[in-house]
Amino acid sequence: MDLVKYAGIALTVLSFLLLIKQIKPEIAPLVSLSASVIFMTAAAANLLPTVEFLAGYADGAMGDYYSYLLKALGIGMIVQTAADICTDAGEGALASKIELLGRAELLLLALPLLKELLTTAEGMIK
Amino acid sequence: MTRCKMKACICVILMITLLLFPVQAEENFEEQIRNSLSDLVPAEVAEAAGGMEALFTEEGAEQLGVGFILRMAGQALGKAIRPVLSHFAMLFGMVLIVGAAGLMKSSSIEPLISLICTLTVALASYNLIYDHISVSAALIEYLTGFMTAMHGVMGLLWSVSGNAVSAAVTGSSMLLSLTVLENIAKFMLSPLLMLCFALSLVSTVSGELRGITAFIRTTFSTILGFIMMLLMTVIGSQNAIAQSADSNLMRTIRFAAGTFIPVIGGAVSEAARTIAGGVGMLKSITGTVGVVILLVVTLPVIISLFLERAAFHLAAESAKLMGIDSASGFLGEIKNLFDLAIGLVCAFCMMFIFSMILFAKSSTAV
Repeated sequence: MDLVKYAGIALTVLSFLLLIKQIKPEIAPLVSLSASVIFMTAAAANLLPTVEFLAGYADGAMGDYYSYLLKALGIGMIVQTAADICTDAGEGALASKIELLGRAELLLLALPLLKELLTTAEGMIK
Repeated sequence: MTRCKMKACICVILMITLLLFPVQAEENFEEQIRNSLSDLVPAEVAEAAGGMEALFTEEGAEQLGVGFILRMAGQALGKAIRPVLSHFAMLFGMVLIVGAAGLMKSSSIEPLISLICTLTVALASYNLIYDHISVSAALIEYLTGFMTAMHGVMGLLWSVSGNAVSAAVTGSSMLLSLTVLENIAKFMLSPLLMLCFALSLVSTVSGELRGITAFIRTTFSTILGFIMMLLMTVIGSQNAIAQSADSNLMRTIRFAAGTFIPVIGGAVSEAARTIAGGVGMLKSITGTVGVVILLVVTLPVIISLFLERAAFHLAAESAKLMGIDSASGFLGEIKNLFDLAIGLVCAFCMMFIFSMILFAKSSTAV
């Protein structure tokens, strides 16, 4: 039961953070970051076998679309975690910059897909 | 006296020739049918009948029964299930990822991830639906080609069996139907399905367009249904009237020959009846084999379309369960497009099968 284990870790980290915030508040964001990295890795590890299993069934050409979705999901998770930590640390401006960077990265990722869609639309019109 | 003997000799020779005529006629017609359809008969059908030579014979036709059609349907199902499972896995995986992406609470990131998800699902679906539209269009092209070749064969057999009016009237209405259907398939099938696909794609962004897609779909299927009904009525009624006219005409000719030409008139009449009997059987065999060919060619495409539709339906329902309305709506629209494609293919197939059954069931006029 990994979920129980991770829930226990989360509660321990929370208690630890509450204590640290009173004793040494400057290291609290670092602890929060470490815990976030652990939980993100665990979430990715849980999600990947399912996606890999389904991707194994999908055709080669069709399976390429998976990589776009996974990349988008990864970017989203990383950006959101980083932005949340920055917000928790009271750095709202930094959080918004990270989100801006994430948006740019996602737009860059969407570009080949948009290009393919436009080519398809052109083909349909012709 | 010598002149009388000469006449008697000619009569005897003519009668012997007439007695041999049915067998020769059947063999020649079988050969002609084989030549006309050789390129269009699927290899499996020819193989099951025991070779191309045996295809339009009684023994060959006996091999192509319900069991053969069911076996072919089973094979088609087996072949289609693996790619459809793979497509379903792909769609379901995408739905899962879209569902996971939907859990992000960041309002600035979430719309972009949703855009990427929509684009990937749309492009993957487009590739799938494009393949199926191409296959359906190729099938309809094959069916019209087959029916054009059959039109020649039907005309020949109708004429030989004394159904001259049927050959002229039903042949012309068949030709009209083929032209109408060929034009529908050529100029409307792909553009219409692509237009519906484009509208479905746009409706994932703006749900208001969903009504327009449904309207186009319903209007087209209603109009097509009406055209099909009209064509079937025209072919059916013209065939019935032409059959009666042929029967009437041939009875008059036989009566006149039997009454006014002594001795030989009755023999000619009986010989014509024998020929017509043989040709009638050949006509039934050709019609039955034609129906089997139509079914064998059409079934794999219909089965594949049905399975693909089921995959999209399941994916749409899964998306709905996960609360991803945009993906669910889009996948549901694609499922509706498959419904339309299935309807079109079935309508074309039914129309051709109807014509073949009319041909096979039509009685000889003699």
